[in-house]
Amino acid sequence: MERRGVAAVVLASSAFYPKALHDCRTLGLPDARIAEFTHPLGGLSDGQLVERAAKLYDNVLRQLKKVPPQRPVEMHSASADRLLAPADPAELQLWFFERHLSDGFPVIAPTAAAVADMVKGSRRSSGDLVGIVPPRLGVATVEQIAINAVMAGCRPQHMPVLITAVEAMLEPRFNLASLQATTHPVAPLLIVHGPISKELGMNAGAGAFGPGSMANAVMGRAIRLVLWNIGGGLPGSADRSTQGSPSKYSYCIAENIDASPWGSFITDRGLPQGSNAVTVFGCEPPHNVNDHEHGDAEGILHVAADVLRALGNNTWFIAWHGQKELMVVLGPEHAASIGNSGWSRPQVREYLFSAVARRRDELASGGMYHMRDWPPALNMLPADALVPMVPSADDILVLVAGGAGKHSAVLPSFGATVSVSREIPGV
Amino acid sequence: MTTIEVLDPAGQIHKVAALQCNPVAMPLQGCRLGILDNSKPNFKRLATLVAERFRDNGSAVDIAYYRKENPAVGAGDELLDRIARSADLVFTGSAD
Repeated sequence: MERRGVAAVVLASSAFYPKALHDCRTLGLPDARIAEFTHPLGGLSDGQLVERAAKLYDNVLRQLKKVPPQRPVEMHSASADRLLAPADPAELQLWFFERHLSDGFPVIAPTAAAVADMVKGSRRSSGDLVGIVPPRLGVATVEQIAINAVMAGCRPQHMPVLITAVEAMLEPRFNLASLQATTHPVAPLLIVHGPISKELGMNAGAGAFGPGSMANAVMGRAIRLVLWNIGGGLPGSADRSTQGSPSKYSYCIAENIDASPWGSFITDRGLPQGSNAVTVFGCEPPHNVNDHEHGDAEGILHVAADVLRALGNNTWFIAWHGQKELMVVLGPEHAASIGNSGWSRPQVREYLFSAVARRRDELASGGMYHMRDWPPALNMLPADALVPMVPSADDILVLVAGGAGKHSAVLPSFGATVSVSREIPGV
Repeated sequence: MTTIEVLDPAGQIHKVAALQCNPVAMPLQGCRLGILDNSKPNFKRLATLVAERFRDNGSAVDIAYYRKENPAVGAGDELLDRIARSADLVFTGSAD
């Protein structure tokens, strides 16, 4: 509003005050009027709101009386490119941690030589701009991504995947600024498709979402460090996630194309079978689908739908301009059973689309019902009308990963985000 | 202490043209107030209670209410332009 010539006051709860201040500074308004009130806002009685409003009124008045400094505002001082850190390995870890430059796990020192090697792996120039990472609006050059890749323990050959993933996350429909800031525990899941996943030694099989593969672990962590350092997504500051999530450390898998009855997921995105590509999807950690009972498509997918349709999933209630998605990652044995039932991937999507729907009055019993972002026509539906979770069956993403066993996973999304797939160039 | 040279993992920040806050003539008189709801529960009620105090003491003559599409998506240009055409002072929120 200030950019449009209209004075504005941000009413910020005490827990969100630091974020408001950070956002205003980042957007070029370091002296923004921010009137604070006691957190929380949600769940208060009307009497409590009246009490909050009385005090808040005084704070708003104070902000309005504040005289903005008449000075050229100097902000966004550039950070030094080179820093002196302790050579002792243990002290080095503490040094990074105390400066909020690491996620808490040990890091590899990003020396100029190590970073130069990492840049070479990208086959691009160190100064090439990949994008601007919110909310800090950090400048993600190839070199800057390489620094974080070194810290995460990556190898130079990981760089094409990382750069493509960062580019994908910066597409507007991915809504990275909100993913970084929300109270929801979302993290970008990085999925690698194609022969490159094997070349890099990625794990698409047993325990794909878990530990044990260096490539999965370090590439996922590098993405987190990019979001942390370049993007400024620090918990309790710009990242307001209520509980966080283990997936915010590292969240990266390879698609198990060999176990897929339908070929690679990437063909759904218009890329040819065998393409090297990445998909980024803003979602919760995997929710397990345990079904040892069924050997048929409908039985397995009935159980998957039951896990997906939980009332507490964001995906019910918010969307990116009307678009939202779900992901189902089938374990190979479930996928084989479904394939052997003669079901195609579109049939899987169609079945889930119907099976996930819930009655409107059930949705009204919790979640974010009153903040819902669905077409107004749905609000006119009778109480027992079924409301779909996503706009169409095509918004249910289906792929295969994992090893032996009767388990699959469903991944509800943040809601206001759309996945992005991109071919990895030059590999 | 022996040191080594490392490269800064945070790096540069994209420079955004710095702004000054738009001035507000105090005491307020006959102001058109706008509320831009962040779509979080209770924000509308809280902001309206504050705005009504301004209206009741004559500082504001009008209170207009606007709502973001959803809490996880920023207000679009069209909405912001509309508010800018009809309000002199806007309350918005950062809270949950």
